[in-house]
Amino acid sequence: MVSSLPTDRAPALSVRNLTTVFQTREGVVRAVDNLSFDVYPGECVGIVGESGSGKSVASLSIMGLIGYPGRVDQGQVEFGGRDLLLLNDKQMRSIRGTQIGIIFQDPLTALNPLFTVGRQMTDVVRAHRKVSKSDAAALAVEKLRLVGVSAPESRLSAYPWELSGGLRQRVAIAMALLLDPQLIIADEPTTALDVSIQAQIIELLRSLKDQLNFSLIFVSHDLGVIRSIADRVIVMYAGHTLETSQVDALFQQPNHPYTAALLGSAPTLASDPNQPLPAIEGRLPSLNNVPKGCVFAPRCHFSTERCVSERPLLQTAGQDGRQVACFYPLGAPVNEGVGR
Amino acid sequence: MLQNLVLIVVIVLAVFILMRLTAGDPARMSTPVFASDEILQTYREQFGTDKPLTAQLWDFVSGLPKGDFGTSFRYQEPVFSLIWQRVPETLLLAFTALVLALVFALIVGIAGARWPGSWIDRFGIAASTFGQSAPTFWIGLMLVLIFSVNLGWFPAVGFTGWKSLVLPAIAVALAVMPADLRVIRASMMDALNQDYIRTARAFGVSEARITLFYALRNAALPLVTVVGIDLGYLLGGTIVTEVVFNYPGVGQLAIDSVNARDYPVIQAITILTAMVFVFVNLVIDLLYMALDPRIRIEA
Amino acid sequence: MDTVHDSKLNELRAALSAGQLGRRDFLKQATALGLSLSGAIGLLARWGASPVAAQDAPSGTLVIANAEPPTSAQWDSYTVFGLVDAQVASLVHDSLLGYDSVDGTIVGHLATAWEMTSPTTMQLTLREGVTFHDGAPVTAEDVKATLDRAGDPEGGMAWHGLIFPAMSVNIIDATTIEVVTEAVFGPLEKSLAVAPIFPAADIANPEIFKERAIGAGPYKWVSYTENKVTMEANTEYWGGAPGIQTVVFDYIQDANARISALLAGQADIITRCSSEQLDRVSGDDNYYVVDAPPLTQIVCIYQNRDNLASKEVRQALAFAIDRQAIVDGILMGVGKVPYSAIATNAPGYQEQPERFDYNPDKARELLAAAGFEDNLTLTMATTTLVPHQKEIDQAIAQFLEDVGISVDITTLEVGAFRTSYNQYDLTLNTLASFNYDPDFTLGFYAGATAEAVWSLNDPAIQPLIDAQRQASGDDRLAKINEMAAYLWDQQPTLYLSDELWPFIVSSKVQNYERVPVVGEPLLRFATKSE
Repeated sequence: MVSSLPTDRAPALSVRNLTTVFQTREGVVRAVDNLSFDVYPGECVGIVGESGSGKSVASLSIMGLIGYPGRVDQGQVEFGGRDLLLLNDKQMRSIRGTQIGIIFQDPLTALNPLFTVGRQMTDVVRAHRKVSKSDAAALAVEKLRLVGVSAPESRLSAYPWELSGGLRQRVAIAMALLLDPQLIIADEPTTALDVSIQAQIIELLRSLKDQLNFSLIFVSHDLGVIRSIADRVIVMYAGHTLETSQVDALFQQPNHPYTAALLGSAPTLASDPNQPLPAIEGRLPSLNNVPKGCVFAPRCHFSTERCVSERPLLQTAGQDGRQVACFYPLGAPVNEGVGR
Repeated sequence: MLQNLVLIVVIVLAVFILMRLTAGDPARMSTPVFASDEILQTYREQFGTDKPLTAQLWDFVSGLPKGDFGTSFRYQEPVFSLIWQRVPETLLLAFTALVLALVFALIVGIAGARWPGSWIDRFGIAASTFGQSAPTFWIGLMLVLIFSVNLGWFPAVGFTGWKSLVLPAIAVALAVMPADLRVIRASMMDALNQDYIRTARAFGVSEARITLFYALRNAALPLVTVVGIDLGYLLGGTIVTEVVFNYPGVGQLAIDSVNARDYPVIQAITILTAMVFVFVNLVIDLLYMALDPRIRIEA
Repeated sequence: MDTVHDSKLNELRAALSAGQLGRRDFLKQATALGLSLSGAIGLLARWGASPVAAQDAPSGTLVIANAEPPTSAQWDSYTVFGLVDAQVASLVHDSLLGYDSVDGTIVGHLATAWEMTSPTTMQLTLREGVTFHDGAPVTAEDVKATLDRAGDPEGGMAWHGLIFPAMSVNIIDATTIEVVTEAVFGPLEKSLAVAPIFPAADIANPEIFKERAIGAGPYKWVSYTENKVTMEANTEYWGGAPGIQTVVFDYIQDANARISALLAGQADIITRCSSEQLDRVSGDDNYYVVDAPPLTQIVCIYQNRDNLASKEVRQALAFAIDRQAIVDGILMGVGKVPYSAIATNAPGYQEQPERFDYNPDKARELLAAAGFEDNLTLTMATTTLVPHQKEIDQAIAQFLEDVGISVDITTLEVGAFRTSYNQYDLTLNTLASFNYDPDFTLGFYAGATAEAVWSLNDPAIQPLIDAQRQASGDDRLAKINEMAAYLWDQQPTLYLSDELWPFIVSSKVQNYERVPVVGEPLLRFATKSE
């Protein structure tokens, strides 16, 4: 595991001030608010948060896959020397699948039930490369083998629903790897799977990343899963970034009370299966009605009047680019009065 | 298959019995009020309706395996050839109307699903609301008034060539189009919102291919279902239009035969219609299997 | 008509043949002699010298749209009753006597001269050189075969007893025949004017009538397909080629489709129009209306039994129902209220002294005298057989309720109505005469028909029928009126109105005229301009 920032190289992906809004009946809501982060070559960045925190919207925004009624309101997504947000449909399409691959949560719904695995994979190849069907199929077989699918040739004629869950997700991973992208976004790739399969898939992704040296954005609600694969982690809450840190540092000492609460509610191997998991009290705020101050304040045990009336900005806290958005971070001392 | 055969036999018997139970002596339908009993008897002998019911049933049933549906009372012609002469016109009308309706519904329905709330979507919703609420005979009358009587572009009645097909086909198409459009729009919308469409998009597949291939293929099952319903409707639904346009099809013949109590013709039309219906359902089941591999596996 | 101003006409004929007289001038001068226009056109067609005739070869297609098809593809006119059957017969076939003018004068067709040699014997001289459409000459044998069959009481012909009495034909020589009736039969001329003469070979082989019709008339039968009967001009017709080349009788079931077909130019004539259809063309110079109905009555048939067995009750009904209001308000004037028991255009029609004008007080009086005060209930069946039948029946019921008679109305499908009408006290229907003679309908009031139609069994009636049948000339008209007067007094049915049969005709069609028969004997004089 890489433990230090690979600052010697330029980031593969650089997201700055990304804000994605959705038009609703009640008005415009911000699903992702001012998100900034970098992903370096070969690095895995985890984005963690409860459902509705904006983590999936963030990954779709990077791919330019936000459709009506949503839109990216501002920000830059620099990738390969270009701002993806400024590309037209055709240019963006040429990047999807070739330079950025994506793995979705549930391979059963993410794969088309009426087309065979082979058909769907060769279609992707032929959408970008002028190759024959058999060459495309050969590439598909190669990638299926790479992700550990046994008898890959025979799988080509199978329909997704004929495969087991784990096998399906391997197919989805093979599909993401088809055209050797530099960046792969995995959006909750293990959530729909059994726990035993989860571990296999995470192990597969980690080894593939090391072997092929692609960058990985791994989105999950599960800090435990993030811990097992990510180098760095971004904690999102109600569209906002609350904390970003090297994984190990985060687990050693969460700075944000939300992260701490998340850690407390996450099952670990040490958890007593007979004890109910401590849940975080309260609920995520509605995006229509985001608190004026700290977004986590209503649920925070440590919140003060200041937290309610004023919003803490993301501040550098400690080393290795660690940042936290809290007036009263846990653990490491933060200069009193910093914030405005 | 056996089930379908039983169904047809039941229909054969039901039609025969119902026709006899319905008041209205075919002989009286051919004669004025003052016709004497002798004259009525002459007609009954000519029609064979003077025989006992069982003998009539036997005459009818024994001819069926040979494709002999008897002789029309009114036209004095073998029933089958009488119907057969009119089948091409009705098929032409039904299929032209179906194609018109489907082409319109596909274009507008797909565009409406792709761009909900756009002008073309609003246009489609307005057109289908109109088609659904306006009765076919009224649409027919209006079409005739505008395009035949006032503008003189198309014939008002009869069948004299492709021009005669235009107005009736539009009238029938307007009757079946709304359901087609709604189903296509809804199923396309549903398909376009599926995860696998997002996947295709995320892998750089073009929008045209996503819409016309991936989504449409998934919307095809409801489409086939609705086309099946359309065909069922068209089997009987062209009747009103055929009457309004005096279009020489099977529907018009059916109405005339009911009015004249021309039993053999009514029986034959009902049975042939039932057989076509059974056949259409069979074809649709097969199409389901061809279109959806999941159904194929279950079967 | 050959008797009118013979010498003058012969001069015109000579001038026409010599090419000295134009077609138009001929018509002008001939009508000045007192000839009807159609008569003059008939002469023109007959006498047209070759240069004129060539110029006037039959041309154009005339489409007549009817609300009904032929009753059966059975081209034997003696077995069918329908409108189209009669129309086709009147064009394809010729008869011994016939009509050449709107005034209904009977003239010689296949016969050139005829006279009664005894009260039951008519001697006729046959026209020479006339052929059927297949080229075979029309012979005395053909006439005999046709009329013997029509006159045979055992022959099972539908028209026997209605138009034709028991009769037979004697051949005197090749051009002379005798028609001998069993009893004196007053309407014989009129019956022979609607008696198509068939080839004897067809009579011997009646199956052929299911395939085609061959006659000696002005039009040749061509085909019957998809409800259209098509005929072509017979240029060899002895009376001259008809004016229009092709005549089509089309069946257009829907009333709106019929008027649309006319307005779109796909039909030239639509028959038996409703007031709604007439409104569509009123004030439009492109169309004109011809109404010369056969003797057709709209009647409300009573079952003359039980409570309706009483003449006073039936008369009360006549007083109670405002017939004029129904004709004006529902038929919108397309009807004519009679004041006798026969159609107003029937020979012998005379207004009766008691008009049975609307008088509800009188109706109540009569009902009270018959023992009914608000306690008479009548049943009625209604359907859509007669134009506006339901509205008319509602009105009749309302008028009857107004004088204290309850009416139970049952709505029946047409087929059920036709089969069971005589199980109800009151049912609207029409009675039409096929031969321009009231005898046709008067005959319904006796025997099995009277029993079946009206539940009527009045021994006084048969002698009245016989009396008018056996009389002739003006005496016969008086006898017809005597019988009509008796029926009028008896009121065995409600004589609601004449049915007017308005035909809407495109102005492209000239000289289209009708005589009061069901067929179209004058159609051969019509022409069509495109």
